[in-house]
Amino acid sequence: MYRSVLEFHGTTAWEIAKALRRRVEGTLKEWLPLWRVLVTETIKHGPIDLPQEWHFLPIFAPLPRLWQDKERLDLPDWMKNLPCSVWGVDLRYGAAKKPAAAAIAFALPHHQRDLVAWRQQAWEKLTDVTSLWQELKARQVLVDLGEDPFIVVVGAAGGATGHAGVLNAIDFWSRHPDAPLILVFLVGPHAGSTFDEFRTERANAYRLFLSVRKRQKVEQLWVFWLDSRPNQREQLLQETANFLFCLLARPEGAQLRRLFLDGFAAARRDFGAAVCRVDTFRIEAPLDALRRREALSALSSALRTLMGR
Amino acid sequence: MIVSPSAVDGASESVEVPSELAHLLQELGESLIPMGAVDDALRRSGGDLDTAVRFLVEDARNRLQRKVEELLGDFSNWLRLRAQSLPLRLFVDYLDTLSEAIKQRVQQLFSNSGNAQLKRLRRDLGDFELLGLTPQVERLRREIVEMEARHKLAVDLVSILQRAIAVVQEWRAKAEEVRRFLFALDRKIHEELQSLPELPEGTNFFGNNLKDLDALRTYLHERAYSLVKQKLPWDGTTDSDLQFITESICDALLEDVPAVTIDKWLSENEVGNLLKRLPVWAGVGEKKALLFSLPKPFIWVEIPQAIRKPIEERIESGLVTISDNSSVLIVHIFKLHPIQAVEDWEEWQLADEKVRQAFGGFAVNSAEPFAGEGDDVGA
Repeated sequence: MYRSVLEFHGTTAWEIAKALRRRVEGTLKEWLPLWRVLVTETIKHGPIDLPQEWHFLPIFAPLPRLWQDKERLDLPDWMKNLPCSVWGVDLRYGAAKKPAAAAIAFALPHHQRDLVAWRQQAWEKLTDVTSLWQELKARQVLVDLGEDPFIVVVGAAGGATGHAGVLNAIDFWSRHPDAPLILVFLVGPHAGSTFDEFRTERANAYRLFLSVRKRQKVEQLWVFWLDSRPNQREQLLQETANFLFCLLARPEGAQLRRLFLDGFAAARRDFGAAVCRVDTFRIEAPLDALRRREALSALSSALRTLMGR
Repeated sequence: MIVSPSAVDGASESVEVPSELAHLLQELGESLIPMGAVDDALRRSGGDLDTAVRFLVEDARNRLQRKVEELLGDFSNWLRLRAQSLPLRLFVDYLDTLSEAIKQRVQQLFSNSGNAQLKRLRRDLGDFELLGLTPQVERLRREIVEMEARHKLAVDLVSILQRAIAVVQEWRAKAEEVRRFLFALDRKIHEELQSLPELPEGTNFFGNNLKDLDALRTYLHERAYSLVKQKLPWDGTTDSDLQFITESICDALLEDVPAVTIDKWLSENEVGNLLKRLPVWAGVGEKKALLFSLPKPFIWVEIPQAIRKPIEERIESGLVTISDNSSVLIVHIFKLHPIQAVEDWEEWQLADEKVRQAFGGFAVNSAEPFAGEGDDVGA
């Protein structure tokens, strides 16, 4: 099991976070202090029944009201120049597929302050091995803390909050003095998009890919892209959660991470030009079924011999 | 399986008959007129031939009455052994041959009255008595008594052989029922095989647990063949037999199937085989793959396995293993995509342009400004 800070931004990522929580608690009975989780969503209030290692930050801002005084806000100029249709988004009901609106909310000083504070605290907790060891020991769990902690960032490629949140996270962690490995998971845009939103989702994903690509200058950042047909959304979210579980909890998680960094495509990898597409296929094959297939195949062939075919 | 039996009905020609019939005829022959029976009948009759014949026939019928069930039971058991040693189709062919052979033998019994031979023997007997040739007379008297008795007992033999034909027909009916059962079993197994995962050819999912998959499969085939033969429901089938036989044979076979130990990192051949099977629909098209000289995908198979969660209190007694809930194989395929090679990338760009146009050129679909729009793709 490996230490990690996990950030889930937007509705799709929140669904994945919940699936991951179910998987972890279903397997290990409880969420472990090894994994610090941040969830952001453009709503006014977040849930309260989360494990203590989790933090839900509602990225709400009354944009239409703030628009009047935008010049006095501590925001980048380009945000202030965005059209009023962006400032008119009521973030209580999401960011309306406008990453620019979500970006304003993330950039608001009090949100930025909260995000930075939580991230710094989460990192300190994970890297304070002595304290973490004590905490794990109190829960009667012993884990090898030899592996460096890493960052997992999850968001929908075609959405708004996920889009803005992912870039916000990358910008923070890529400037972090410890330069942790950042694994970004972009989900969609095809999975789950409706016909009406299809063009917008693609447009948003296009921009997000370009933005991520601009940041892929060092081998610190690895971007994974997962997508499916619209009607396979639930399956995709579940498989993404399962894959995250592998990285966090399964023995080969460390080897996988090393391979992404050094192994299977090191020589061919071209930073800034490529995304790593992950396709996950579930072969409904309990291991016993593999053995049973051998037995049944033999039985079938014996029957044919017996019947003189 | 075809032998030349000793004739029991007086027929002198040697006829090729199935061994079960040969055995039956031989047993019947020994029961019909055992050694010394003719002399005994002659002695008891005081030398009167007709009385001796009557004694001989009565004794034979008594013996047959006592032994016929046993003989037919043995006959049926021989057929059971034959059923267990032959493939079903050959067994059915064999039953047809056997039935035909018995019918031929019945026909021979009907057609071979022996009257002419008896007349000749009686004439010879008269001659030898006139000549006073005692040894020849005694021999002829025994021959006449035996032949007449056999002639009278032919109807009894025919009756028994007809019952033997009925036994063969019973086995024929059983064979038909077993054949239907085997077809049903085959269909059931075929259906289950369809529902089980089809694994790539050439992939040894038994890893180091198995060196030679072909050898295992040959062995399993032979073992399954033997087990099915042992378990065929010759004494009647029920609906539950299908499941019972399938499970009992599977259980026996599984004892020889090693545990699955899939390598986490597949070989190049295995990757190739797997890719042929998997619906990699969302990948880069073949032309684009060539255009961008894309490397082969990297495949990782996630295998259900226990996760170790050491608990301090139990360190001394070893690791506590928590079972991973996952019980299915998950295949992860990692493919590097240059973003220009992303499927329909042009459509993505077009969508971006249209959204920007709708907002007066502002990139509201972005969380950051793109000052140099023209540099986006080539940067």
